[in-house]
Formats: sequence, C-alpha cells, structure tokens
Amino acid sequence: MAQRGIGGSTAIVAVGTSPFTMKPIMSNEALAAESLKKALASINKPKDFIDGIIVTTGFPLGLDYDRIAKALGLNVQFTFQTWSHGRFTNPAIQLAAMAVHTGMAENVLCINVCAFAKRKERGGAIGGKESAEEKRIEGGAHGEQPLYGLAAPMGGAAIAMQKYLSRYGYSGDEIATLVLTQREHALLNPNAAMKKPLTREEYLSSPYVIEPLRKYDCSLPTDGAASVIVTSSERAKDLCEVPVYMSGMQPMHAGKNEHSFALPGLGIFIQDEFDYKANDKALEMAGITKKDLNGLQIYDAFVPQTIATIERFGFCQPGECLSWIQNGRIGLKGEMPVNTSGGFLSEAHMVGWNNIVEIVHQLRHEAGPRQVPNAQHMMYAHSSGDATVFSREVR
Amino acid sequence: MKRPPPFISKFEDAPFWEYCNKEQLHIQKCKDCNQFWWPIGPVCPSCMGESYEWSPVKGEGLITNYVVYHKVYYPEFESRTPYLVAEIGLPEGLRLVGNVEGIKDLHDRKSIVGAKVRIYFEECNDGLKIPQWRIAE
Repeated sequence: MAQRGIGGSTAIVAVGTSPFTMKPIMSNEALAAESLKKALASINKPKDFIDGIIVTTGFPLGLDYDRIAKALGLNVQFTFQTWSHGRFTNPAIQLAAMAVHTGMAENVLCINVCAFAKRKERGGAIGGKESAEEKRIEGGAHGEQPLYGLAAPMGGAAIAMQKYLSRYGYSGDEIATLVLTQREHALLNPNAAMKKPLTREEYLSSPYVIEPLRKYDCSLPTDGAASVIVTSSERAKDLCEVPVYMSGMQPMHAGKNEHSFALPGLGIFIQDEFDYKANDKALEMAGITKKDLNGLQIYDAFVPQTIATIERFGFCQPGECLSWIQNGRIGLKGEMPVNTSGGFLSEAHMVGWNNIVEIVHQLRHEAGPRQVPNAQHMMYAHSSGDATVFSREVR
Repeated sequence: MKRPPPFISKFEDAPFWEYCNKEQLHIQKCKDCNQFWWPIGPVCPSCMGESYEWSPVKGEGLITNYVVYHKVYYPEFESRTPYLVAEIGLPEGLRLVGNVEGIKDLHDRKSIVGAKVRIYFEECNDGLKIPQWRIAE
C-alpha cells in the first residue's frame, strides 16, 4: 500500500443517513441526529470520538455548525462551514482529509441537513421573489437577473442546456436516457425518495418549466441529512472492516470561464467559447486511470451539470455527452455506471453527500440489487472541476 | 410595466443608469488594455486597471442563446408568461441578458438563435429606463 502525499492517507470509516423524503417528517435537528447516530453506531463509538465538524449547507437550507454541535452535544476543536450552496461537497470532504492529514483534527464529521421539502412548504419555489441572492448587483449565483425575468437556479441551468443543444445540434429528447437511467437506479434503492417508475413517453410529454428543461431534469425537493466521518487510514483499519480510502482529489475551480452548470468554453454569460481540454489529476493522484473506475457519482441538481461533468473529466469530448450516455453505457451493467443511487434527480438532493454515502456502500459491496460487481474505485465529481476518488484499497 | 427592480448601489454602477436614463448604452472600457467589461465592477478583470471610461456601444447584436419561462417566479411576469429571456452577443465582445420583442415563435430555436437585434429603452417601475432588444428588420 503506497500513499501519494495526501492521496490515500485518509479514509471514510462511517456513514449514516436519515430517511430521504418528499414531505417533511421531522425537524432538521432530528434529521441530523438520526444520521449521526447511525454513523457512530456502525463503528461503535460515542459522540466524543468526533473532534472536528464541517458543514456545507447551513441556513437557510439546513442547520449551521453551531446549532448542530449544541443540539447533538458535540465538543470539537476544528470547525468549518461554507456558503450555503450545494457545490462545496468536494472542497469540504477534501478539507476534512487535509485536517486529518496535517494533524489539526483526528476524526472529522461532515454533517449536512438539506431541507428542500420544508423550504418548499414554507416559501414555494427555490429562487424568485423570496431570494435575497438574486437581487445582488451581480445577480444570483447561477446568472439570475430578475429584472429580465431570469429567475431561479433552474434558469441558469436552462441557459446552459439550451446553449449546449443548439451548439451541438441535439433536439433535447436525448436527455431522457439520463433521467430514466437514474430513475431505474433509484427504484433499486430502498432509501430513494422517488418510488415511481418513469417511462420515456411520460418524460417526453411532460411540459417544460423553463424551456428546454422539464421538472424531471431537476433534483427532487427532499428533506434529509447525512453524516460522513473521515479519519486517518491508519486508524481506519482498526475502526471498521472496509475503510473507503480517499485516494485522489482535485479541487474546485473559479473564474471567468466557470459556471456551475456549464463546461468551461460552452459560452454562456461571460464565458468564452472554446473546446475545453480535460485532465485527470484526481485519478493520477490515486494512481489509476478511467478504466479502473467502477462508477461515477455526479452532482446533478440539474441535468446540464451531469453533462458538463462527464465532459469535464474527459469521459467523452465536449458536445458528445448526449450521444455517449445512450445504449446502456451509464447503467449498472454499463461501461461507466453513473449515479447508481438515483442521484439528486431520483434519490434525494443531499448536495452530494448522498453520492458519497452511495460510494461507501458500493465500495463495501453492500449496495444490494444496485451493486456494481466487485467495485474497487469510484469518483465523486462536480461540474466546477473538483473530484474525489475513493478506493477500496490504496495501491 | 412593472419589473423586479435591479440592484443599484450608486457606487461604480451609477453612470450606467444615468446613461440609460438618456437612452444610451455605455459600458466600462479599460484605458490601459482597451477591453470592455461586464458586469459592472471597480477594476478591469483583464488587467486589474482602475482607469476606465464609460464607452458607448453600437446597440446592436445577435441572439446567442435563449430560454422560455413557463413558470412564474416573480408576480410582475405573471401576465406575460410564457416569456423569453435571451443572451445578446454584442460586436464589442460582450454578452448581455435581456428580453426581445418581435419573436413570432418562442419555440423555433433555428430562427431565434442568430437573429439580429437592436437596442431600445423600456421605461419600467415609474421612470427607470432599462436596455431592451427587438428583432432588427
């Protein structure tokens, strides 16, 4: 077993989730407590085992770090919380790894409540007149400009999707395969919030919400919580039977050409238009290649993100994704299974923590009917260029 | 016409709205590297130069991209839903967001993307003038 700097030096030892539901069924604090209890029980440790906490989704979506620490009785000496947007899952778990690797903390809990269902019940849609963020001088975080009616994160996603379809000459019907494949995966996942099958005809006849996107192209407004505990690879071996090593990572990018729903170079908003050249830094750190990956879990608040991510990491060339995903390639028996839990579209919108929990189940070979046979390595990737590779063993 | 009001800080964005009020579209242009920039900001994003002028642009462009809203997010748009939001590519090398008058079929991607548009100023919210676009004949 060889480590490459931070690559392979840390591992996930425990995960736990609350139920993921379309309607609110318990308080945010109860969701958090349930996820943490399950994670701690799986390694038979008390709460004082945790000495660091990282939160990505505080107010207004979930719970802030201080409320979680007080409500669950945690005493930690390492704390961090990001802006309450979903995109920070890789940066957060990578920070957990850095904290453990550098000795600033020993056992770091990434704990997140995502209460989209409660928010929907209280205030209607995500985005629109209740959103303070859309009213900033630069608009919303996804390009929103309410003055012209460009509202809600979904508006930015629709802008990215339409540009993609027109630049590369797709009708848009090709998207169905992506949505239906994830729905099939969710139907094999007992914790998926979505239990209903979906046919191609139902998908194609559903109305547009923001054309060219339909409701099925968007994440589910679910309630849920997830806990993920990161520790050193050394300690991990004594704590659980199958540690899931964080073998490779590459961080999130920012700048003129970055839009969280679009590949750099797509040419929306202030992006330049060019052909993006992919790289494999996380896989290089892990000492593997794409052929070694047994699955890809992608942040998919909206379908254009899945497309941008698949192209960003070079699984196909820019503009090829909607052809590449066809004919079973991303299904459980395909060449590259994608979002095997159902993803945000059909399992739950847990801003990526559900994808990471799924990777742990897959690499521990405990994913039941949706298990990818003999899974050894999987990657969690996001459209802003950040990715983490997880491995059952570190080479 | 009522619209959700734009955020106006009255710092570096003040001249933009003063020009709009005179029905002129002026954009920040760097005196050091000669580049236009958008959205409004205190320094040139290309060279971080702080010396700039508010430079007039031609007021014409092409629709590079668009979406159609079928859902109401702001009550001001309720009576005109479904409505179109477009990205307008300017010859000065910028892309702005706006609505476009004169599109016959909101769903005809082939005729919308690439269409030539010309600027006009719409008065909304009791006297605020905002840049808007209509199909150029």
